Amino acid sequence: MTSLSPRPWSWIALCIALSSSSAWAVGLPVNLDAPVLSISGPSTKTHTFTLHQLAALPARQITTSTQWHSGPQQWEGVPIKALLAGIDATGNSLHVSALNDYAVDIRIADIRKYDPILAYKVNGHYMPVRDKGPLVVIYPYDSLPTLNVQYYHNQSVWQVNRIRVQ
Amino acid sequence: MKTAPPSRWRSRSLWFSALLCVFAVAMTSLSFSALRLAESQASRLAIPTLKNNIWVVSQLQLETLRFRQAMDDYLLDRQPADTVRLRLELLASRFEVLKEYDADQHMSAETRQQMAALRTQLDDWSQRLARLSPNPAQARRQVQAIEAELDSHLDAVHQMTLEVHLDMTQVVDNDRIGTKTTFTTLAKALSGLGISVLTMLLFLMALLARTRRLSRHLAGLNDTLEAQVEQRTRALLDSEEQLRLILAASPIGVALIRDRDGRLLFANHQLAERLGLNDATDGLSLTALLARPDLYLELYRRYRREHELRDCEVVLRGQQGDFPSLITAQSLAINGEAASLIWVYDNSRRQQLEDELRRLATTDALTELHNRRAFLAEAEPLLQRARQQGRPVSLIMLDIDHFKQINDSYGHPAGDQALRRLADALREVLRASDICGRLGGEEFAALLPGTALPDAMRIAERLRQRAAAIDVVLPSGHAAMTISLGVAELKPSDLDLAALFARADQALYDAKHQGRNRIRSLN
Repeated sequence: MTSLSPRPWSWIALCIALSSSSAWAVGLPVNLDAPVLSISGPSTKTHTFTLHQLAALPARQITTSTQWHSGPQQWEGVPIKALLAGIDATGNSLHVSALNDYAVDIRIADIRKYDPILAYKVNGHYMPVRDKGPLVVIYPYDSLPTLNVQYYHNQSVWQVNRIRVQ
Repeated sequence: MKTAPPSRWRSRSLWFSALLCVFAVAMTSLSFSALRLAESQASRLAIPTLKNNIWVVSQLQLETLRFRQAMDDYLLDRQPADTVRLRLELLASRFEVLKEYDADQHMSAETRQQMAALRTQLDDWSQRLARLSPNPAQARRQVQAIEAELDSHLDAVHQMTLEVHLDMTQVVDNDRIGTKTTFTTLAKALSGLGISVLTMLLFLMALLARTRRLSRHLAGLNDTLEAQVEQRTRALLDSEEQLRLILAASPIGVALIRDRDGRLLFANHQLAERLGLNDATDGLSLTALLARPDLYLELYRRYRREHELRDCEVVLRGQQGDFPSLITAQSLAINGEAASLIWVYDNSRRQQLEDELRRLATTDALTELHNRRAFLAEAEPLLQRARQQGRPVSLIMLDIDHFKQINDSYGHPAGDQALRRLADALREVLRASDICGRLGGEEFAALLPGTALPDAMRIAERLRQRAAAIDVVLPSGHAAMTISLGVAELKPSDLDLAALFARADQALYDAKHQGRNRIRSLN
């Protein structure tokens, strides 16, 4: 809601975005061929994916704002449903962990119902670690009011690098 | 009537209504404000925010320590340089989030500067880590330098965490207070609404009770009124019916006419039949009943003026011809409308009776000639006139000869027949201007105006001849009869009728004595 109104801090956010891109120049560059994600679990062997591999899968775009971004952003990534189906992983929930050791459980039922993506691009760019990359879980928050609760925002994990199907 | 005076109740009710209006307006605006407050709160709370998420800050501190740990591990050869680089990136990403979180506003100016300095340092460290010397010892020294530099910032990071945490608790508490205020306000508005609803409910109940009481009272009054109306209506109908009966039974014609349109409201049988009226008759009026309205204009004007007429002789237009009558009219109001009550006394019978009576009083029943009294009554003025004008007048007196014998021999019918035949003869011979009468028994008289004695003698002679020619028809045969006549002419010396009569009588007497069936005169 707040994202729709042009408030001063949306300009600040823009400045941050600009400064971030300049920061990327000094930060670690995105390596498309390095493994960024591993999926494991009792029902499946461990799969690792590079950004190249993920980008080769059927993609889906979601335009939405998140708690971490002011204003709607265009997200592009793999639907988690499709990703799991691709490796025949079955289970009740996903334990999604991040490089910063943030971790949360996502119910498979929610994934089926709301079809979140594992985004690797925001506004057409791959995301460096500094900018919450390499991967971010994105729900279509702006489209479904039921998603606008902390429970689902908590599931918008960034800097994702591990998923355990359980 | 045990209710309060209406004016008091009305003023009280007005006061109540005004109060209620003010109350309603106040409550409406209160509800509206409460609604707006609730709505703004609801929209504020529609989306979860990071505002109170202190995790962001604590994670920055944690990432700082982890970065330091990664450098320690690198120095102990437990982690590769890439891990150090990744941890730096992770730390940097925390700074990005901190900017989005707008954490600066929760820090003191000094801490803000120190944090900005650390942020700048990160880029420097990043470049230095990217270009670590291939010489491990050299690289180790470089990392040790970064670690030392980092240590100089640890207190600032701690201070920042503390300050943001403390400020955030304040923010959260302000939020709490704000929310509490909101809810208190809402609670007040709700209690206001509740109280007003309760008050209105009580007022409505009181109103309802009063209405019910009034309606019961009204129903009671209504019942009484209805009973009274019914009773009076019955009485009225009874009296109306009685009046109608009386009028209907009245031997005198009665009609009730509405003045506005001349509608016949009532007519009793007698009048309706006589005038040919029926229920559908309208356009009636007093004048419409009259045979010749033009003759009674004055009468009609009088009625319009005085609204009543008493026993006026008029001729009405009846179904079987006009008839004389006495009308009495009275203007009155029927159901609030002007009407005329008209009494019609059919005068034609009385007129007939009067005429008959007059005729009986002046006419001899048998001969239909004037009787003695009528003859004398008419004779006197005729004589007066003749005397004044100096014109001659003669009197003939006549008598049937041996009338007693006719009666005795042939019976009274024969006598009566003789008398009638003689009367017929008199009518034949005499002029219309002559006066002729039966003075009594078999004695007749005729007064001839403008006739001198010689002419009278000739007329007498004609009479004698006509009488002698009379053939009285009897069952047993025929009878002849003769008359004797005495003639006299009025003389200036005659003081009165009696003198003339006396001479004519003497002449008749002479005629009798000289053999009957003859004429004698005396002058």
